[in-house]
Amino acid sequence: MSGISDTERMITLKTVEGTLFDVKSSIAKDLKTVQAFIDDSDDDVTSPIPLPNVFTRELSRILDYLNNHHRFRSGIEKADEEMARYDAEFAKSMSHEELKALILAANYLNVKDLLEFLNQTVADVIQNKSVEFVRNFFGIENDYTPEEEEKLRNENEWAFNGVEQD
Amino acid sequence: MRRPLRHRQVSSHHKKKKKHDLLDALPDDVVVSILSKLTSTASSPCDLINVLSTCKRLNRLGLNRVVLSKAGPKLFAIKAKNWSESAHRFLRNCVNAGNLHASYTLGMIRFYCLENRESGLSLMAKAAMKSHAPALYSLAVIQFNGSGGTKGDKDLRAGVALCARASLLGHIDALRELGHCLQDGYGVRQNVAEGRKLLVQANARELAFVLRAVARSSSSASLLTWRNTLSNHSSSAASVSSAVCPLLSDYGYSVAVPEVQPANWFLREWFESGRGRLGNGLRLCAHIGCGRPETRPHEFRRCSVCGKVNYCSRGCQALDWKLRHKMECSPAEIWPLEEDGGGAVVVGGGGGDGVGNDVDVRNGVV
Repeated sequence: MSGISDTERMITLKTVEGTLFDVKSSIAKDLKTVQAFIDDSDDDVTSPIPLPNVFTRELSRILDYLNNHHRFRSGIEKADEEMARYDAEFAKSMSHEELKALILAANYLNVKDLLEFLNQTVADVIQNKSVEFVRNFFGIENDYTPEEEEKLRNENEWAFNGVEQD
Repeated sequence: MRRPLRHRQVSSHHKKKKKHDLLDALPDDVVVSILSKLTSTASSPCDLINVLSTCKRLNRLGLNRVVLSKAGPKLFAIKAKNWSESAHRFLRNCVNAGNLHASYTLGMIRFYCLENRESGLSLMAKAAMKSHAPALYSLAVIQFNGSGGTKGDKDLRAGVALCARASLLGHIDALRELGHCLQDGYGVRQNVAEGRKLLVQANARELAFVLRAVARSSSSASLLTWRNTLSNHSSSAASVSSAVCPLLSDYGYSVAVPEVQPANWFLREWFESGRGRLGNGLRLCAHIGCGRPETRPHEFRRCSVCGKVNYCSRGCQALDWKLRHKMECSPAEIWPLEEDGGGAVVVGGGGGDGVGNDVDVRNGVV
């Protein structure tokens, strides 16, 4: 990498609360929404880019994830193990509320890899849990009528043989 | 928004609004992605069914073609006693979505349990053509035995070819079967050394598989307690025997037997529970991890020592010998050899040794 190239440029992002984050443009590339904005304004981004849907807590986590992953990828071979460990820690460090908020942020910012990872994390959380748990997690209102529910239960009776309660 | 009458009412209204937040905010493709990951690592059918029961949107997205096609084999671990038209329909939908595990499972069920041979074969072939190793292996067993037809329908060469393809994909049972075929010159030119190599390789892979499983279940690193941890995780495919089996006596390890596959578990449960009736005089393969029934009298091979147990394949015979038959096998009174015509007169203990010595056949490699 030669001196001051394009990739070293710093982009400033502003969260809902007004906090400013300085991000290398190589990292910003992973935030596809931001990148699209940059492309649209013809690379002329001197003022902070406002992110109306993203909170400080989420953005800081996302940037943390991306920074670490960039570091792992550009580093030596052994990075795979470290990356897996980091990912596991990352997933564990969040409460369900934080996880949900992070998905929304990652979705808005269109961060593909992180979103894949978060989706897997959610899948792991709701695995082997009861209907009520899944409803609570996603904040779902049951829109089935009692008759429909009965019908559904009969339809799917074959699948049940003792579900683990949360 | 209404003027708050009571503080409580406001907060519950607020709470209601918040409740919709996550699912509503997520676009369909993100939800589909989550559900696909859920089905691919599902440990039983109810993982998906529970999600389907939550609300209409998740029901629709959960039955999305992409989600079904990504499902792992355990999603189809249906209990035989729960078998119904709805279960059948679910499997069919997954087959139509292109899921190979579903094709294989439904193929096995149709072939052996529902006795719809043609349809069962075609479903298994569908999976086999896309390189589904268990399907290739099951088709091999069918070829070796001429299942669903007469003994003249046996095609040993075809069986070997299918086993070879399955073992290239890493299927351990197929590898073992191939090893035995080579050792005995069954369906292929005899090559004892090569056969032995394959048997050793099969055992080595089994060990690697076990070690990986131990590493994954982070709670215990000891091989001896592995079995307990694994049986806590798997709900439908239970660990096999309570005794530790000297599967890898070559390496001085005593390791527990690997999990039974969902399709095999279904077959075994189907016949043992009486849900499916075995034809007159027909028997089940005695290996607990198999569950295959005979499709005509005297189709399977018998233990030449005691004559009390039957096996669909050498692989099953060898495994069962190690697992438990070795302990209980004892020479029987002279009984008439009513074998299925020519060729494969039963081998005891998985080798050419007809006498029930406590021999680990061919230097301990089985």
